[in-house]
Amino acid sequence: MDDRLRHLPEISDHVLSSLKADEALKHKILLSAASGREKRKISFRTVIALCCLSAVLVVLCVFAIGSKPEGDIQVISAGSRHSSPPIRLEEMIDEAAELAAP
Amino acid sequence: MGRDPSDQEGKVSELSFDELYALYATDVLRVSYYYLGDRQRAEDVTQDVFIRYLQNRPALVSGREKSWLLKVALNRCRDLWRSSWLKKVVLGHPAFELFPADDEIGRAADSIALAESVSRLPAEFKDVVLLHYYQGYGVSEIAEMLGIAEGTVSSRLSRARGRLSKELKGE
Repeated sequence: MDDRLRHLPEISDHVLSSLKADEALKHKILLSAASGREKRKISFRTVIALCCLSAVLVVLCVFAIGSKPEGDIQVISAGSRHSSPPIRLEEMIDEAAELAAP
Repeated sequence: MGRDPSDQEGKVSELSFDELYALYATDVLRVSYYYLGDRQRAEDVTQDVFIRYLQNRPALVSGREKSWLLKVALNRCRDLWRSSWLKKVVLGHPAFELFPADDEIGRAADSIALAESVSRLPAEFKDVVLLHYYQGYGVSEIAEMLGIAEGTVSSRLSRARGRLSKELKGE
């Protein structure tokens, strides 16, 4: 069997002699490769654009979290719980100034 | 025969796409055809292999260009072979159609029988037989190309010969 198989190249050349990679197939390959490259470029740009958009969204979220709106100060005392209006620094300074005045 | 014409160890290949195609595309096509038994799919595999080459531009070692192309082709063939749809619908009973030139029709029937028997071998035997007997690669080169042990290649070759011998005697 080994001897017979040694002739496989010649046998294949005979039985498949008209099966050849021709110019038409080559042309198809070149066209497909060119269109594939174009597709890849578009998808790469899309990825970059998505990355930029995500970065912008992250920055916006960080800013939004950083600038918290003023909230009520929760004052909890024994037996009761109530909210007091926000205390401003300016008001505290004014009160301190009044107390300090003779 | 397995070695390619300009065999220089370690040197990066300088062959252009046109040269690679002219030298090896028919081999890739015929090996794929042996594997799949379907001309259209063999052309698709050849197309995939060369598109992959054009898009990735791998640094091929001089003298080993064909082994890279055949390795990619066989991987692709194996993927197609494994796909259950292809097995059931197309390759369930692959009809190995022959494409002899007009002046070759009527040539020795046993040659045709051998080619048909090779095409009917199970996938794991077919790739070692095609690489060894058709493309002329040695056992160690085949082991490297397929990522299997040399002993496995030898054992598959031996078992494939046994199967072929049995099948051809039965005809």
